[in-house]
Amino acid sequence: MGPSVVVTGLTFRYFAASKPVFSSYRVNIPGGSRCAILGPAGAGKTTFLEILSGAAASHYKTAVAEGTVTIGGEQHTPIPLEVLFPRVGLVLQDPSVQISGIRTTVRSEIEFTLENLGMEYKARAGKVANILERFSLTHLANRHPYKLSGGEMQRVALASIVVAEPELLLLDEPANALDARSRKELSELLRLLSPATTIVFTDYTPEFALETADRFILLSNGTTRFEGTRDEFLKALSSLSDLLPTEGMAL
Amino acid sequence: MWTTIRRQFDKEVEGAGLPFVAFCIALNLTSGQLAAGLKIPLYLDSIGTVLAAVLCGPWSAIVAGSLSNILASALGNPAMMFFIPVVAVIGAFSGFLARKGWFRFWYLVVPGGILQGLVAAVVSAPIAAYVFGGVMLSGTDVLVLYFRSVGNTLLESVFYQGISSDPVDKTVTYLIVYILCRNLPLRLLQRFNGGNNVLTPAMLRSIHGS
Amino acid sequence: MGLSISDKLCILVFFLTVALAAPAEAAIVSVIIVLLGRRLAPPFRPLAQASGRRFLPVFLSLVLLAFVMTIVNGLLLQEGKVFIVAGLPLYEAGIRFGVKTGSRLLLIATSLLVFFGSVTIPHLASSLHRAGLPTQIVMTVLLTVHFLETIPERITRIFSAQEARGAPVRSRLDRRLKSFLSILSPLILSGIVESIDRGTALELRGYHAGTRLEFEGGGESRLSGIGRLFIVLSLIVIILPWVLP
Repeated sequence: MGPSVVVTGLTFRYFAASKPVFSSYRVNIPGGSRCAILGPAGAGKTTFLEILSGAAASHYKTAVAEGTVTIGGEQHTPIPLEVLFPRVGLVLQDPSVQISGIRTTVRSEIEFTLENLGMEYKARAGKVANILERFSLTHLANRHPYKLSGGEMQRVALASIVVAEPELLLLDEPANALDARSRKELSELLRLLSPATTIVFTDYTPEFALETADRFILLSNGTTRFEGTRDEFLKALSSLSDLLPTEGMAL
Repeated sequence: MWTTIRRQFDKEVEGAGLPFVAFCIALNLTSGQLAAGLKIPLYLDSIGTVLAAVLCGPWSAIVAGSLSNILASALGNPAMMFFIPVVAVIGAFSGFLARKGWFRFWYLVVPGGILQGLVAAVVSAPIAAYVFGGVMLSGTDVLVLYFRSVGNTLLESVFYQGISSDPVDKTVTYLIVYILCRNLPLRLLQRFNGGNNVLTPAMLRSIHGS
Repeated sequence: MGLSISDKLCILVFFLTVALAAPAEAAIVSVIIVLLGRRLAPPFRPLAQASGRRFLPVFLSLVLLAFVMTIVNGLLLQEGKVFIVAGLPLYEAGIRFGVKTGSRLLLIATSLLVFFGSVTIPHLASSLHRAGLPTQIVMTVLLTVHFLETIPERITRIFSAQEARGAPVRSRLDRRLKSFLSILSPLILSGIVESIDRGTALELRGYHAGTRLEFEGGGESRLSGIGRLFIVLSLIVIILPWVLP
């Protein structure tokens, strides 16, 4: 079972004198869940993922934060000294920047993560072959990562994080630029990973979340406007339309 | 010493620095071409080096400058290889000035650029004289010829040519970097180790609140 | 003939040594050897068509540079005998200086052109990494190659957008400088944003200073007998002027 995520008393400012992004924020994500964090642009979704992954440490040199982040019982400050990888993995919004740009094949791109972890060649080869198969990338293994379609690139970006077997997997707007088919494939992939991995992803529309998540949080200006299960979210959806675009959705 | 340099470089490029230095190198290799394309009579090929010096630090700028010239050689301009000492000095000097706060106010940026131009002229003169015999097949050759025809030695002529063009080029380069950095959002600026190099005391107060 | 990049580097070092330490005659002969090597030795043939096409114009401009250098110095360095060529008084000392400097430049530039034409930058970086070049530098070079592939397209896009908005790309100098800035600003801003994201992505995949990475390509990096031979030859070229009377 993936770890639970408990955030208490989180206050976060980019600069000491700036308006807080989060103020005494608290949230609880059950272990093994697939949690969607929804909300409009500027709600604090990406910053929240950066805090959970520990990336805020190197990102915001002048940031000021208080509170605690507890992942699977292990407590951290909101700005730890370094990223929490490989325990926590974050897939960035744009797969083209997630892909390193220094490797010429999908296989070696995924291997790059394991090299960083100091893994020996034999162990790496086995793991990479396995992840290529799980992510239906075997036939693309020798292709250049930048010569793939958007959906394929997204799968490579995800595989390059999942290969390190993070207990908590974070994805920033993963379905943003995907067509309907690629989105469905991604949703299936994420469902296969759970419940061994707790998954938290962000989005600004509820469509992909409804296909994928079993837990929903609606964030607005650094505060939770809604928190609940899929059924509860569906019931509340009409009252949340000021924050979520639901036009044209078949609910 | 090598370990110390590596440690300094690693410290400077912590976080976003490494890809940024790579971007600065690519910028050096393309900004000169862009300036030539717009028929601007200046080199403007060290904007990336100065940008790396300001936002990361002197060691990053030395690496950016040197690798720019090595790659320019590899991409078909072998003469650039000879000027590695010049770009290394430009990187070190602009990094030094940035750390001393010379990129915080325009009235320090202008003399900084002039000084940088003089330093670049001093370092490049022996290379232009002894490796290239004072001829670079560019418009500035006319100046070298003029200085030589009025009785100066080759080294003197190349140096005079350098001080007649380099300070202008470097001052414009410094001003461009200053304007660009001042217009960067604070949230981007503070992701770099040298982000504070362009912030005035008043701006720093507004960030830290005291 | 299978040569590793390290071997090729040793051969390059040899020709650079000849250019800097040997007389002009040796440099001129070496230029011919380098040109023949490029034509006849498979390891030194240009890898890409583009670099093959670029070679001749660059080489010819270097020959022109060496020629102009000789004439200019012949005219201005007024020592020794005078030769009247096409009505121009050329002095012996100037011609000697011009030929010496020109042939040196020609050899250095030609060997660099041939060397870089016969290797790819990623393979060279990878090979040098195996020989001890720090991972951070190799990463920087490889990321630069990535940026170089995307920047021209970005510039074209911004340039077209500026032109479409009536930006003065063909007018007075101050306006052209303004135009230069208006292209550079969005380019640098997008470059900085991408650098930050790339830096984060690397960090989020466990990359940090000191990580030991393996880089693709570059082939065998160990020195063969040929490489060692050229190191010895380079040493001989350096020592010879001190030994000979």
